[in-house]
Amino acid sequence: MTNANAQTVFRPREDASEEWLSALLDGELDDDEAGTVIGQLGKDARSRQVWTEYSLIGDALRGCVADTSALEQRVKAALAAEPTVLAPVARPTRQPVYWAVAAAAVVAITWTVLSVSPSNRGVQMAANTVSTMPQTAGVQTVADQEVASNDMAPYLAAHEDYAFMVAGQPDMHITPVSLNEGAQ
Amino acid sequence: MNWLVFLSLALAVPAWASDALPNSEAASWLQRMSDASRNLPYEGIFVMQMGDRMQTVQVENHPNGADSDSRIVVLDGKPREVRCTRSESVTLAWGANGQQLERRIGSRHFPDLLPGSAGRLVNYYTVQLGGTIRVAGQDCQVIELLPKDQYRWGYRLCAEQYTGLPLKAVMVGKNGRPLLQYAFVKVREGTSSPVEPVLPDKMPVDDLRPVVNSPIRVKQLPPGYTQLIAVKRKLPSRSAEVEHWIFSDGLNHISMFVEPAPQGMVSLKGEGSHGLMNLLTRKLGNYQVTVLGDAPSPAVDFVAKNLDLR
Repeated sequence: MTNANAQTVFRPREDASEEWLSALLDGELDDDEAGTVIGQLGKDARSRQVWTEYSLIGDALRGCVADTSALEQRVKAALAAEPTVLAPVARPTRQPVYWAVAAAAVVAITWTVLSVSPSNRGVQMAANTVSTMPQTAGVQTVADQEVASNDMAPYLAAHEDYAFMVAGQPDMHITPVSLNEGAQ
Repeated sequence: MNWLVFLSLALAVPAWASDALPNSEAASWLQRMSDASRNLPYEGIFVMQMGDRMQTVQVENHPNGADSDSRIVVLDGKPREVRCTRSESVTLAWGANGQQLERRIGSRHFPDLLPGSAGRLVNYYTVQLGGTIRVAGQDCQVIELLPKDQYRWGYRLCAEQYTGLPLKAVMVGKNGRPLLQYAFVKVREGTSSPVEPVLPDKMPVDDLRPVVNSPIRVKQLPPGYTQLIAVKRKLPSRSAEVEHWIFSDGLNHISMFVEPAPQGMVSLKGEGSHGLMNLLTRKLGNYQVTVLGDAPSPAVDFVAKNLDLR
């Protein structure tokens, strides 16, 4: 909206000016529109009062209002009189490219977290410490190992019943092994 | 929190002596400690430390004939309480959904760590008498149990001089490394609680049933280990019941879980980050067998490898 349009559309009637003030508070006006509305504020006492009440409402919603009963009453009255201000409509200027970038970032972070998660590190550490049994030739995937590690929690909790423990279950480093099961 | 610092130092710098006791004297010491932990009325607060985890627990014990009723309250983290009456025990936890009850299959806890027949431990542990140290403001006698083989962790205990009540217990791993430690920070003989702890009126539905006709047979256990219990129970995230067997030498405990094997299962080996726990999962016929315990890896492997299908 241009300044000229703002001049022609803006009407200093009470209801319409309140809409423009609300838009100004919500940051929905461009520079020219905002300048016009701010100029009107300087000339119109009613607009200034509305502006003050809207500001108080905003402060109340953000928890910035001092605890004075008079102020509280005014804010409550303002909230009752202007319920639509409580749920301002979002400005329809979202750009899809931002969502694509955010989604890519989430995927990248998730992949990084999974790659260095404690359970996966545990698998790697345990693989270096197991010596009593021959190792398989890397047939397990990382996902399989993480599921297996998580599956141990119910067993540890059940064992805790009898093992005097009340400090919670210890972290386990799980690794796949190949047993000589020929004789079972 | 200064007492925590002092406690850590006391646990980390023990004063051990080295002469092995004759079996009869060793058995006498062990039995005295075992009896005191059940037969004495006491209440106190102890600290449990496992690796970098530490938890403070309040305990009270009420002797009840040949057995005892006790109550332990976890003072850190989520509110949790365990009530033990004779052979039954239940865990009470408080969360977003209110109070939750869970039946436990064991009712032992610090300082009641030694088995009822503690004297037989001398067959599998060398018992040494250490010096006298001070724990929770009381003088106590250090007693060390050194495993005679690779199938068990050791213990360092400290018994109050006159009553024999264990005031401190340290489960010891390879090279004398502490794996799990308990120590009273405050303890007194007698209890101020007006009533004995009782189990809640509304106990959880009993989902523990004895194992009958298990598909698995245990051919042999590590020396000194015996089977304590075998029950069918439900576990979270498992649709079917699981067999839960427990074996123990009196101080170390090994659980075995038997259930139908999922498709494509592979054998897994696990070690607790602090070295205390060990685990081995294997397939036997159409069954998945998971063996885990607060015992050294050779003991867990021994159980897992000495199984057979019936």
